[in-house]
Amino acid sequence: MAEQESSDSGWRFDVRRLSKRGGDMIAVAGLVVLGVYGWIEAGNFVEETGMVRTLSPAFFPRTLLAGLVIFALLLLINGLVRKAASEGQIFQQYWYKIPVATVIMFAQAYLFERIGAFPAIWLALLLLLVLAGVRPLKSLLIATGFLAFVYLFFIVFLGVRLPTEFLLKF
Amino acid sequence: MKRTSKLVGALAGVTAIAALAVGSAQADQPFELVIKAGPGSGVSQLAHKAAELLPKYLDSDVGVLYKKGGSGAVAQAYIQNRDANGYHPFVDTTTTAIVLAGGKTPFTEEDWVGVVRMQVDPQGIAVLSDSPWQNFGDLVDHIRKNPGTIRWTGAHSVGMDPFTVSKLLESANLTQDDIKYVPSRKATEMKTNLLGGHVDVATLNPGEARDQVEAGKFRMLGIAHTERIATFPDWQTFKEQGFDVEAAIWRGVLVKKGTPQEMIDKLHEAFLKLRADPEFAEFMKQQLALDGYLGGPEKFDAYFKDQVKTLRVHFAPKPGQG
Amino acid sequence: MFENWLLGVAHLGDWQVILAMVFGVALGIVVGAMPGLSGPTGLALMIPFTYGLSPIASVILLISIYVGAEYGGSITAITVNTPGTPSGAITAIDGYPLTQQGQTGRALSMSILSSTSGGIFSAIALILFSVPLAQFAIAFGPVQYFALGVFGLTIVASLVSGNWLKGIIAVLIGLLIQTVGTDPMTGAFRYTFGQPALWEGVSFISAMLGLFAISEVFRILEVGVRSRLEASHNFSSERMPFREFISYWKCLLRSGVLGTFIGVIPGAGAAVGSIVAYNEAKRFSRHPEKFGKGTLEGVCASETANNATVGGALVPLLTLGVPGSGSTAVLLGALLLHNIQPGPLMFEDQPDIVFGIFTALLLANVVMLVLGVYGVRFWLLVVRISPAILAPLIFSVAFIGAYSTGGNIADVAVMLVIGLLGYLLRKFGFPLVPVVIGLVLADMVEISLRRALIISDSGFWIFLTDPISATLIGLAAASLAYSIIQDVRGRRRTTA
Repeated sequence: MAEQESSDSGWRFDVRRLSKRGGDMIAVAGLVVLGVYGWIEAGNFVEETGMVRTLSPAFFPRTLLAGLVIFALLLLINGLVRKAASEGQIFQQYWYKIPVATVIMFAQAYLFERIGAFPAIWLALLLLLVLAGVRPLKSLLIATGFLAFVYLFFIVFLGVRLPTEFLLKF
Repeated sequence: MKRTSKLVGALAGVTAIAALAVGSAQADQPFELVIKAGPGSGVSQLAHKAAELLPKYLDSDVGVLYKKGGSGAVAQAYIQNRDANGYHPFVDTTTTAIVLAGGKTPFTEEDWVGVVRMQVDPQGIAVLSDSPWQNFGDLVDHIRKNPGTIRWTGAHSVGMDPFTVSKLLESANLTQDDIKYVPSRKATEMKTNLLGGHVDVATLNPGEARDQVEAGKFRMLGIAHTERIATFPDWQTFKEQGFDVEAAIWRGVLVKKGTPQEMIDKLHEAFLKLRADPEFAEFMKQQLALDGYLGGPEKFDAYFKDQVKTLRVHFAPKPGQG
Repeated sequence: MFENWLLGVAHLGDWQVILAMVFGVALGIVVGAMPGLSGPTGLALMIPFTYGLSPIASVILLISIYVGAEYGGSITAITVNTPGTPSGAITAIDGYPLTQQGQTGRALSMSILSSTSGGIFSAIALILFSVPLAQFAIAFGPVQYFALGVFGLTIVASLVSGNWLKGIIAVLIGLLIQTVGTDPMTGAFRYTFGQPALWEGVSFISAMLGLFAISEVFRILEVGVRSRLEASHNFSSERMPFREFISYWKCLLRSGVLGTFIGVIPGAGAAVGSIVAYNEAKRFSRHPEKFGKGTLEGVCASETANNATVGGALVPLLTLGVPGSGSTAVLLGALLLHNIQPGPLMFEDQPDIVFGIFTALLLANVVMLVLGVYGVRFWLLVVRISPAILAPLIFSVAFIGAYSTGGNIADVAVMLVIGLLGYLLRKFGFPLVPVVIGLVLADMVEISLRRALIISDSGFWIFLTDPISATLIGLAAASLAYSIIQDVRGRRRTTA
């Protein structure tokens, strides 16, 4: 991850040491990379004008991207000039829960149409509750209760269609 | 004590899931009307009305399934990845013909079989009622004398509206360079811009123009239909004005190729009964949609495939245009 | 006009609509009261589940949530000094000291009564001004809409956060997200990376849920469970007599007018309304020294103004189809999903919807009054659900919502990616509201720009030769210049 660049204390890597100014620098770097990449990619747009004679499809995105890079560089200058305003840390105590939660969330998306909506929701919800610090038994009850809520409220009452073909496509 | 309660909880959870899973697996196979558009669209209203009334004609549950994405590619893939048993009818519109003709999806018109056409919505053009043009001929004369000044709006730059506009120009021996074509996103935008005088001509269906025509703000210069429509008998068709153009949006039902003929007939039969249902007739009236029934499934199937082929020729890059 | 009222009122005979209103206000109060959750989050979470409802019921449900949320923030602000909304923070300045002095009941009565008055005042202003404004809005064509878009985005960027640089970058990010998909003018694919799921661009629902709900889930997880509210006070339930409330009429009227006008300005939402009204109340007060130590005047100013911004913010939304705040941006997206296009034509073609909204706005405030007066204890109980439980549940509901809008798992993936993006933006100090407004206005801005150039005979000059457009662009430039000057001045002061 890019966070490493800004940790000025050598080998010990801790996201929580990232200062606000360091964060701005990372943001600037990310925005500039995005701007350059987007500009190049816009060169590949295939123009199918149909009946229209107007600006090319790349014009608007490229204008935005140019603006993005310019303002990102201004942010960089701003950060260099005003040091006092950018003290303080960005990430807090439980930052490591974010990547774990992300994995659980994408896992639910992956499994949703494969093992069915109910098992996928139940599993992900249980894991997220435990991750958030809820006691396992309580988590189990909440996750199971939520399934009943999904069935009664979403499926029966609102008529939402969810994949309920249980374990059929695994 | 604590351990037992944990165990009970776990057991309860597993039982609940198993019960739900078994319950849903044992249900009768319901019909799923698959649509590619979002709620609120014309086709979604049709599908919901059908889902509400069809169960008594099909003796089974009918639901609506949204499969948005990829201009219908997601919905097409969803149905094509399932058995050709007719339980996933594709309630769809002209745009699928356009998408198939454009060749951007991995499917062609041969992957589908037409079942029934339910609604047809002819294309038309409207101008402000205080404009000097009384019919399409007047507009053509104006364009011929002042090429490149008329601002003519239609939905998008590829699709049924630009197709209609270019056919109309063609029929009058004009080209696209003789007007300024202004793409809009939807009818509301076209109407607002026409009312405000920001464009001169708008491509509108009867249902879209109705309110302003009745309020005396718009005049319909022509409709691209075979005959005049019953609700507005004084609207001339382009044909009777000497411009041979017919173009209409349709809404109908398709199934995957290979669906057994008896299933196609069963669906066709059910939609025919739906067409006769008074509640459905009321719905058609509200939507100001015209009955689009063409005859048996084979009639619609032929119409659909023919339309895709016509559009494909129209969209193909012409030599010299790059 | 009279028959239009009848059409609007006729909708309220439907039990679905009444239920939607009561449920919406209740949900809004809860969402507003919960620290972290705010109006836009509640709105975004509910949109997918309005599909089964009629368009009018959906609109009324969402507007009721919006109304309830602006009041809800004050409950936790007054009782536990943990405001649920940004404008609640202003209410807390005087509301919490009142609780410490044992006057919780009076503060809460003041809050609900002034919220209701502010809401009804601005609803009446909306009804009076939007109909004539809608007539005027017909004059807006592509040229003027482009200028209006630029104006709105610039104001949002410079007003919402203290940092105009980050505000502008946030707007640009929002606009760029919407360039993904099929180019609305030429049909060319842009940034679709060969994925059919991206052909129609980023689904609006996925974007809203990602930015508001998912990023919030991440934030709660990161902070940990300790932020649970500890409401240990024994509240005095003494209510304020109505006669006493009426004696605050000057404050009510002033804050109502200020809130309504500030609501109309894009980017200046409920929080700005509260701050301005609070400062003005202090300036005009006979006892300015009491402000900050617990005066009912402070609560009155802040709460009247933040609810008054609701009616104000609906003026540009309904007449021009242009949102000026996070909540109205989400509301616009919801209206479009139900095929309701706000703008001048809505007043002609769908008067029942317009007048349904008017009637609902008035009634929702009454419903709020009832729920607020009799339900405070209940709301406080609900609000005490631990965030650790709440966050995973929000995720699950958002997941089902994103999936059910299109039956497409790719929409869920997009929601998660945008959620991560939103979380990182928040962490790096970029405001989210400009992102959302950029996202919602992107199509309008790009299409009107290109459409204006098709129509124009003088290229880009048309934006400066048209009077409406030139005025709007001038105002945009001025607001930007003002932010830059403030910034440079502030810098001199810190270095000196």
